[in-house]
Amino acid sequence: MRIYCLSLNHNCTPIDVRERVAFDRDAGTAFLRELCVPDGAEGVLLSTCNRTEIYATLPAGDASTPYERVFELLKKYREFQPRSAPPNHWRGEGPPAVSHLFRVASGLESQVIGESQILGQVKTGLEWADEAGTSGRVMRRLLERAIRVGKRVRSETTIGDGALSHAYAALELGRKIFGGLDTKRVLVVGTGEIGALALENLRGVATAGIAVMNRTRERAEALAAINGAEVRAFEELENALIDADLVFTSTGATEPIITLDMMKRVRAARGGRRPILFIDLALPRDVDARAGQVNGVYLKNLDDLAAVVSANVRQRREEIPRAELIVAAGAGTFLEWLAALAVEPAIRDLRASFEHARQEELLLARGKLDEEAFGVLDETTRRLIGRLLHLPSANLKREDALRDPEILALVRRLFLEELPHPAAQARGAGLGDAASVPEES
Amino acid sequence: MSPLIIDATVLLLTVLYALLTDNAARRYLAGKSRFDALARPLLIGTVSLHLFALLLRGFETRTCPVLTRWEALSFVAFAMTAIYLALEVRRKIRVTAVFVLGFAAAMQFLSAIFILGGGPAEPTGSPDLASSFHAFAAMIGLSGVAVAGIFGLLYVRLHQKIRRSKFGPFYQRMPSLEELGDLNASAAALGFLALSVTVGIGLSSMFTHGDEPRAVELPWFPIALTMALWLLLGVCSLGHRFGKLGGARLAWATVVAFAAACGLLVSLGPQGVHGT
Repeated sequence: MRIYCLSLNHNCTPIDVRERVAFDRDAGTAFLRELCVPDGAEGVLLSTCNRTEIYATLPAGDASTPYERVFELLKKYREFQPRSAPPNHWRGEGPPAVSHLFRVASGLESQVIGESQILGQVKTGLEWADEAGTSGRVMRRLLERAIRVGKRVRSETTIGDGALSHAYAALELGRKIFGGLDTKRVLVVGTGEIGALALENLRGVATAGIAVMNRTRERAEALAAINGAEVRAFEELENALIDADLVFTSTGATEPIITLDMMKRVRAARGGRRPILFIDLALPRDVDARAGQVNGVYLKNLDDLAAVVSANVRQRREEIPRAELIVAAGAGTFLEWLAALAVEPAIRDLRASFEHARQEELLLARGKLDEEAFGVLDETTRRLIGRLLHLPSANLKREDALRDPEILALVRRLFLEELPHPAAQARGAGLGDAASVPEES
Repeated sequence: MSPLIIDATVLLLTVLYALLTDNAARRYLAGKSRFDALARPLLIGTVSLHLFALLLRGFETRTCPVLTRWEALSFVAFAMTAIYLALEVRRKIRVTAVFVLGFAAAMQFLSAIFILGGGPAEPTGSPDLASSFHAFAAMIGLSGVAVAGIFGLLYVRLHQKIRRSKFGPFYQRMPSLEELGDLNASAAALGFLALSVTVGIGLSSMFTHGDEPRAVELPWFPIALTMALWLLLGVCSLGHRFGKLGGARLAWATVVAFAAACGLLVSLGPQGVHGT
């Protein structure tokens, strides 16, 4: 059995094509049914904002190329006419296809390296296949292994660690200083576009409270109502700073609204044990740069947040080789299993044939032996057959050359088929008398 | 205990400390480790074995088993590891293990070099319970100071990294400043408590036996250094507990105390703090 993959992803396919081949659940399951069910194949569809990928199986002896048919169905289901036929894409069969899925599940193929959403999307792909009835034994195992490898990559490497957006970098910085934000008070000064964005990013974060202030109070009230924050008067800035631990500033002021002197007063009023973190998102800056020198004050601006993000990106990239090793090991294990699958029917038939012969012989011996002796014979013959078949079974699974369909056919002929006697063959063909055929030894 | 058993135990302990440090270093460098599940049992096993060895030696000598500076270093290695284990269990922070355990392993290694083949030291005076407690508390105190100093150094370094916007591997691997500060203050408080017991027993002994003639003159430098250390730790711990001392200032103070403790360990005479 072969596995192939056709991928239209952000690395090779332009966005205008990707957006037209993105599937929803209903279309996806219908597509899978039409692609796989008529041929009895197995198939999975992975559709995310960055990729549409089809993984499916072909019988071992089938040398046809399935991609034209996939593109035909894509055109039918997504009603798109590519400018070039076919559009830019990636395709692979066998080990490359398996490795590709494992890389995808591990976040190595993601636009944001190491992101974890893809794991959920792979699970969704399996659900769609279940619904379409195309998730057979191979595809199920392939996706389950991919998810397992994806989880292993994230638990054994730091590829998924560290914020990759300015907003999350600010929160990460806060956590690095305060440990957690659940006991910290947040103040957002300025409710323009950036202030609103900061509030939006704070929505799911547990804090001791969020306060908002703006020169125009109505605007602050509107945003506070949406985000469940408290409104404070702009004139109260100094007092609000005494209460706050994490401060986002993004006003349109042309001069710093938080001066060095104000900071010193605030610091003295706060006491020595409570640090304060300023995230100055404004340009020109809202906080006097010298205020960052005051003991217990951490002042970070947009450039600093960019440095956090780029350090995290660098760290994720450094983890890629370790993640690749895990992916390679996972793909190798799966491919071994897949290869062993090809010889399973032959091994099963071989065992059944031997077992049948054993049972026949036991039946003959039954009347001649007492219960105890018969039990010993039963156990001995069972073990004997097990030992005789162990090595050929293991070798068939292990050795690529032995998995050749011709060799498997030979094994079947040798052990499972009763070939006609040469004399009978000769008689049947009318080629002379039986005396010319050598005797059986 | 026969010298052979002592040597074997010292050797085994040194190997265990090296393994602990190696595992902790892997965890620090790789961020996550497949051997994390083994780290805690290995840590507990090492501390237990070292404690058992110290108890045996203590029963043998009928005093706190720090008869030589090398035994003192081994005791410090044990106490630092035990303190770290207690902090790790409480705070669930493992990434800093390499720094504390690395220092403890260095102490144990240094101790092993001189203990191995040297034969066991024999107690010079008669067993004295107060002296044993005094020495025991002093070792725990010095170890607490060492652990606090290491956390202080980590705090100061992370603080500087954040201040200077250097968000490299060290920044990414360290726990938060709040957590480091907490570890720093806890270890400093433990060190202060233990040194208070040491100083208390020492002073009461001086007042009780002050007039009696001594076999050796008490060396003033280690005693003065210990007193200074105790005062500094007192300011740190009480300032943190009841005042506003915290953050980088507390961290710096414990780093200074750590430096003083290192000086004290270096200045130990062959027969310990009070030896010649």
